[in-house]
Amino acid sequence: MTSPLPGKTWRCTVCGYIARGESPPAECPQCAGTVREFIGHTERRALRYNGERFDVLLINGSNHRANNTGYMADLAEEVLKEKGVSYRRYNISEFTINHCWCCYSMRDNACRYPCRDQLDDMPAFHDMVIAAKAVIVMSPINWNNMTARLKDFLDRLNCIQNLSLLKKPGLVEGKIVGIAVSGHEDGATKAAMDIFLYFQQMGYLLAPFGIAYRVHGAQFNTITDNEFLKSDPLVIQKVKGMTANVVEMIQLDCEGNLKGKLVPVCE
Amino acid sequence: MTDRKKAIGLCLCGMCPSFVDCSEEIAYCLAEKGISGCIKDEQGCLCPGCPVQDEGNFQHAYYCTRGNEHDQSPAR
Repeated sequence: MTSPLPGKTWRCTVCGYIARGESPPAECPQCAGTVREFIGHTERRALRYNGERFDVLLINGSNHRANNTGYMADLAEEVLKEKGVSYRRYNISEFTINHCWCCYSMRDNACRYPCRDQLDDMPAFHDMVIAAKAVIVMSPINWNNMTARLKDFLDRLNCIQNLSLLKKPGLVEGKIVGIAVSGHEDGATKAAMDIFLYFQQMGYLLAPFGIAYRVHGAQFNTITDNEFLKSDPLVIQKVKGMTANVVEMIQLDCEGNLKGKLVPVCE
Repeated sequence: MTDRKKAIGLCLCGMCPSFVDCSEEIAYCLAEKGISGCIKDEQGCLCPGCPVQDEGNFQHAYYCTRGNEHDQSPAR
């Protein structure tokens, strides 16, 4: 859907609504996303990874790039900057990630890195997952689970996980994962563990105290919960702590020390 | 696979949505100069499912626009 107003164009990263005007609307008329969800609209080009090595891949798996989970990602960024760690942050709502085609269910050796779906932004994410020493994944709770967008992202890592089933050398074994979950309903630990299971199956190590979550009760609505989270010192303590623990683990070089020594055990 | 003729026989380039037929030799993954002179737009890639890729244990895609396996490898 496109707004008829003249001027600059802005794209809502949640629903794709295109607005025109000097500034984006305070609220998306299509999905109610805040002004923070809008970015300048340009012609979409597939994400490319330039091959430059870095330490941490920070994934904001929310449908909203700059709400509660985005705030947690901001906190993680503060720690990564303080510690001088190289990182890249991606809000996956800004990218195109197709559903997994599940080629492995047609023929087991049909799924392996590089992924057969080269039509979206995921191949670049595959390369960055392989290049980074650690991944920090964040998600809000949607129906007691991670977001569907994040699940698509994690499902698409199948081509990396499937290498071990094909008796090919692993590409991510011994890397580190950290997880953060936000929400105002039950399901934080379930969402976090669902996320972790993907990484466990790929040979990642969960950083000690590597899961940070903060939820609050139904007394907060979608407007006041943002205010609550931003004034809650526990959110800062937990997310920053988890991030610091990921950085500590990177410095142990578990990936290098365990290379060739791990026995893949996965489904 | 070093036999380029055999590779061309197995190669899926001709079925690829990005492919433009301008009488170039296909199997860009193995070509000395992998990048095609006429394919400019990446509109999909069949390389990840190609038997040439499988036999060579190659790990890249879009050889026709990004260069052969060797040329893309130093990036990792």
